Amino acid sequence: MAVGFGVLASLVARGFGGSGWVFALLVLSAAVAAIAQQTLP
Amino acid sequence: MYRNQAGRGWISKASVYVLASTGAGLASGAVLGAAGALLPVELRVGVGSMLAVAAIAVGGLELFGRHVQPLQFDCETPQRWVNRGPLRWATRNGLALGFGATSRIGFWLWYVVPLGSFLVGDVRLGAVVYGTYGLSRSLAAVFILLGTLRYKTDASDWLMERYGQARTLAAGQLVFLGVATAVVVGI
Repeated sequence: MAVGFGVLASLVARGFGGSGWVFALLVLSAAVAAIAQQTLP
Repeated sequence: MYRNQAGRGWISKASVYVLASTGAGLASGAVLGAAGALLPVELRVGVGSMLAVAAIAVGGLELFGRHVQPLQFDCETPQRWVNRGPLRWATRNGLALGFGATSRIGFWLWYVVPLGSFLVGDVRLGAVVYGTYGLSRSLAAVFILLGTLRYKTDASDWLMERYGQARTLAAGQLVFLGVATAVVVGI
């Protein structure tokens, strides 16, 4: 699964290019982290 | 939030909670972004490259089933805040959870929020990253409350049963971000 995520990310990053793509991923990561934390006891 | 719903006016409490949480995120991100701007971009890219490798390593370990406990204050927000009144509780809890660092973190992906806000090196972009975290965290709690009210069942138990899935999702996102960053910076 880790390899799959890595290959997918690599393909997408090469396709889009640029730091804007990484910034969008940062924002998405912030939202995912916040939502994942709802599962904490 | 759903532990302190006695009485009316939950909409005002929820609104205060969301505003406080988002405000804490925006302010934290702005401060971190401003601090990051003090460093030269080459240094930030270098640090970001190392962190990208670390993200791939930690996320990969998690995906392979090896749980690496994140550094954190393993505690909830203080229960005594409930006694300060609903609006004060909503404000304090919102500020604490929107900032996030002083309570249970649980996922390595959380570290992307402050580190990303710092490394973007821009007040507004840092505020967007951290503000997204604060807004998402508080809105998620409000939606959980609404689900609990609508379906007359405690959604928190249902959510806690999905902790394992959340770990996989967070680890996958960490690897994805790490690889994308590594590709963009040209490692």
